[in-house]
Amino acid sequence: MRKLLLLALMLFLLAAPVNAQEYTAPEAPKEALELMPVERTTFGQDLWTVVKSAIAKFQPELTAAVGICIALVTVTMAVSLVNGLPGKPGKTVELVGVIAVAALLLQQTGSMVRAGTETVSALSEYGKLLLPVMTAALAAQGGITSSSALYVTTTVFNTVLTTGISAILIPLLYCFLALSVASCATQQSVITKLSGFIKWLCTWLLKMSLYIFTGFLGITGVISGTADATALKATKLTMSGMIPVVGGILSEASEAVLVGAGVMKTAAGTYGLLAVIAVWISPFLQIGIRYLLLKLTAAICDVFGVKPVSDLIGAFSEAMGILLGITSAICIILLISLTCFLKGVG
Amino acid sequence: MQSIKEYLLGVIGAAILCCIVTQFAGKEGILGITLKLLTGVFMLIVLVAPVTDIRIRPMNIFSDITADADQITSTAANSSRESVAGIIKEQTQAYILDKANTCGVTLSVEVTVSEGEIPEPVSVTLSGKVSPYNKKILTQTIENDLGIPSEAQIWN
Repeated sequence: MRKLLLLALMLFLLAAPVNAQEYTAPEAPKEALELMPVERTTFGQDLWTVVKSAIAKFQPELTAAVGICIALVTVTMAVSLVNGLPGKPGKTVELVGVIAVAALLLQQTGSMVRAGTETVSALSEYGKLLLPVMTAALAAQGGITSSSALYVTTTVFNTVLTTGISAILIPLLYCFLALSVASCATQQSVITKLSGFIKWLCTWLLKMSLYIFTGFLGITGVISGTADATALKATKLTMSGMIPVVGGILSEASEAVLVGAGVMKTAAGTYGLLAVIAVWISPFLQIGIRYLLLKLTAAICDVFGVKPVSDLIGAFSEAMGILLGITSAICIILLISLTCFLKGVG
Repeated sequence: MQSIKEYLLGVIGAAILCCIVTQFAGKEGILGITLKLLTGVFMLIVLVAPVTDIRIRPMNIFSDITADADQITSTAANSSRESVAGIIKEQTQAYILDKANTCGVTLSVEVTVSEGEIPEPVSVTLSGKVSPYNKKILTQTIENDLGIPSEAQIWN
């Protein structure tokens, strides 16, 4: 009985939690989890597993995209053939062609825009879960000022950009598509110029937000990193001035905690990087391949000499390009921020 | 999304209407030029009118996020400090027990560490049977090696 009690006591002691803060990355969203490697190896190999899984999952989408492009070429060929018939039906046939192309592409573009906005939202939500973990791990490692500055900058940009995308950029993208359809249908130069302006505005807004983010992060990183490095040096100096035995114990204890926090931060950060890429890669491939295929289709359709139709296909490919930028912007912000968290103090 | 769809359909509908009107009127003559101008103005109104309804609300997120950052970093720093304090307490106790064993004394030791930014051992409670000679040696060792003054050493 006594042995049994001793055994139970030993088991209880073994099961007792270790008195240390743990920093683990939140689990990736369900769709991204399917792409994540089951067993972690090196970052490069894990990344390759994510990319391979995304490409394998993407095959049926490619077939559908190619099908739409073939339909677009067929419509353009038909318009070109009817245009060549005697009687010169001219603008009316081109108008029908533009409407047919718009009908073929609007549904696909709508689903791509939905996929893009869902990805932006998923990335933003995952970032909101991951960033506090990385902030706490970096603060535990001694980077209190750096972690705070990184968290504030990334979260502010994440929130502003996510709101801006849903409130400004997506409506502008639809506006650009509407203007492109109107411009190709009416062939009025003022509408063409307006649609060009909206396209420029979308790309400018995205570029500027990324420039400001990286610039701001760079400046605050240098300032806060120096402050943390100085604080750590001051602490080490204080420890070296202590009684040797106490100083030695204190130095070892601090080192153990800092190394522990650093190891957990690296593990959480690399998982977070993979999770962010896994969330982003599928929609990126979907939109990216459509962008390339539509560019190719526009070039092929140009051969048939139906300018409004080929211009409209080109405009839809440009819309896909803007959508690609929108979807990637939040991902880039998170990747840059996570890399800065992983770099640590100094 | 519904309003965007309505806007998109409205613009496409207006474009088709303009196209038909200009097609019938032709491009030349006063009627053609006037209709082209009118359809242009009409298209502009259809395009720009919904934009005027957009209201931009000021966002007051910065202060909330800064407060969150302060809370996260202070919690992590406190937790880190507690971990360091725990290790220091254990290591200091182990050091005293080792010195007591060298003297051939069996003791139970409880070290208290300071609450400051850098946790240091500030007091110790020692329990067990010990001769006055060994007590003197241990008191001096703790004072010299660990910086805990004899007044902060409680012997039970």
